[in-house]
Amino acid sequence: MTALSEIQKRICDSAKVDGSGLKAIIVNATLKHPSLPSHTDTLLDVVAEIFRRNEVEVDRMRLSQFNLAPGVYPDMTEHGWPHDDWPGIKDRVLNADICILGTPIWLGEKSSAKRGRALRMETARTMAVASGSTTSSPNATPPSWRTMLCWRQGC
Amino acid sequence: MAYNVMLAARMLKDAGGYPAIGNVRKDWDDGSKPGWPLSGAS
Repeated sequence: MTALSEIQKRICDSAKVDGSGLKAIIVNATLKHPSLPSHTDTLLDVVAEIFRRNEVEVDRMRLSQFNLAPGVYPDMTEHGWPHDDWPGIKDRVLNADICILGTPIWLGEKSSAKRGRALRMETARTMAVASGSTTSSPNATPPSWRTMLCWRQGC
Repeated sequence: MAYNVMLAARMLKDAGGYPAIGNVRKDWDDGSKPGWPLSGAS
């Protein structure tokens, strides 16, 4: 089953982009338990399908599935927290060329899951640039996170 | 918007990213100041 409407399919067919070699990570910041359906996912399904139709490699992630400690360092277990899932998933995020953050909004506010974790990811990216650890060339940005977009959904 | 990010990612990837001059902390720590005469001399 496809997430696209007939009109969206026609647009995809007539406006091809060469996405080969590009990787996208699509992150859902819903507060819903991983076992429950998420409206934000239905919106992100459309994005994922458009990407796939243009040969972009798609990876999906729901933040509520992980226990990400608050903080700005690559591994917060070194800074007092007993557990941190971030080191195990950071490569999936940092190796992507495109990062999409999808979040529900309530009363005009982003989900708390996104607020804290987006900061975490942004500092990871900044530190990667600062250390040069992921740069392919010393004078270029890391291959990751060149394009970032936040998608919002009303409920 | 899906197309915007795909096109932007394509351009940036093909160009090898955008220059990180001035954004690399260790370069600053090494004394490199973008635009200064000794820039990049470390």
